[in-house]
Amino acid sequence: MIDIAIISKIRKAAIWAGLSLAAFFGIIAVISLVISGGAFEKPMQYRSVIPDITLNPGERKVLEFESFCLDSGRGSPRRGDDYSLMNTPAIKLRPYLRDIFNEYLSHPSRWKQGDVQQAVWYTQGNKKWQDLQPEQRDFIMTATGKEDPISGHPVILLSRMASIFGTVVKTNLLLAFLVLVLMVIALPFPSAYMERGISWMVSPRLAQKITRGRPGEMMDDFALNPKLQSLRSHIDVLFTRLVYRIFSRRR
Amino acid sequence: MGFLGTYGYILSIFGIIFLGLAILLSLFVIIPASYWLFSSLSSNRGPAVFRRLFAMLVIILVSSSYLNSPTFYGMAQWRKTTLICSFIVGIVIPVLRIDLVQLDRLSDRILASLAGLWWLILVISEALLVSGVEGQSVLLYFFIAVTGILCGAILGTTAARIAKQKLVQSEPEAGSS
Repeated sequence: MIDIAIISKIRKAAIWAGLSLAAFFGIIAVISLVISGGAFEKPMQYRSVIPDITLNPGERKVLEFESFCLDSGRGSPRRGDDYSLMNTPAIKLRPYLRDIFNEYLSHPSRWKQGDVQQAVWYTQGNKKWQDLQPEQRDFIMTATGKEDPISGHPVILLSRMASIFGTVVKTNLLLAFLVLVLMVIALPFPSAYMERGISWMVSPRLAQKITRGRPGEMMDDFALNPKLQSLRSHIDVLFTRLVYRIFSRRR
Repeated sequence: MGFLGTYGYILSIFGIIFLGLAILLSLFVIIPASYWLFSSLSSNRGPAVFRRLFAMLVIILVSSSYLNSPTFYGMAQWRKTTLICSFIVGIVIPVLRIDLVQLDRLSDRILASLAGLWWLILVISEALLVSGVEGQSVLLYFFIAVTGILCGAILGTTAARIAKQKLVQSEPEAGSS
């Protein structure tokens, strides 16, 4: 039987979580609107440079495009790889990328493609300002109006942190969550195991408070659920029968 | 800076705080999680089959999530073959050495040691990843092999224990007839 009280609590928690998230993003949006003075980004320069491409049924056109690599960590494309023209979220997410492309498209003859490529990789946060050539620095300063613009930028810092720690955090949290589920589902008194596991980190009194409080009781109640116990026993019986059958055939 | 730029800027500051907290949390939870994994995997008490099958699923999910992360793209390309071979080794050895199974033991030391080794390699690999060491194919192959042996050993050890129980039960019957 499903407890109605738990469902109403879950519903209430979901509504509160939704409202809190909406309020959080809304407040940030209002603050951003005030700081930016309501100014939106200028439209991309390529719209005025590249002609509209329309194809009639059965028609073929050959067009040449200059392209740039957005991610220096990816492998080079191979001969015969398919390309598609599309918008990239990097323009919105990566700071100063829009300015760099706009500057190049405004004055294509003034800048070398190699320098623009280095500037694009610089916005990724993997290249140091000191390692760039003087003409590359000059291009970035002209495009963004700043010297070393990404230094200390939170978007770049976050992306660096995510690229370094992302996999580790995801793996560790996934392991902890799944093992917690394993304990609750597969052990008869998970709170006792939980207490032993965390007692080295916090004081024994706090460990007892955490594990013998309401969450611990809920976990134990769930673990002692008759249906869950019956599922455990059934799987044991099924596996035992399978092993018996295999070994009796061998004999 | 325009609206979207400012919005991204402010959100990133919160993102750094949340990611920082997640990093600290992930460093703290890995040790109790490993304790819970070792104890639930090695214990022979109660309905062990369900617990071990679920633990095997956890190990497979965590290992595949780690190995399939974009950081290891293109590395250890023979991972499936390594996994299957080591899984077979892990399942076959305990079944062939059924004579070594001791039914009175409350915990399985081999499974606990293998789970410990799996966890240790995972932590070393994560440490190398964070410190920016490029190319850890050898360690990844070792990790895949240990994962396969551990998963195979979970099945093999459990099956061997049940089979031994059946043999012990059937011996007195055979003796009496």
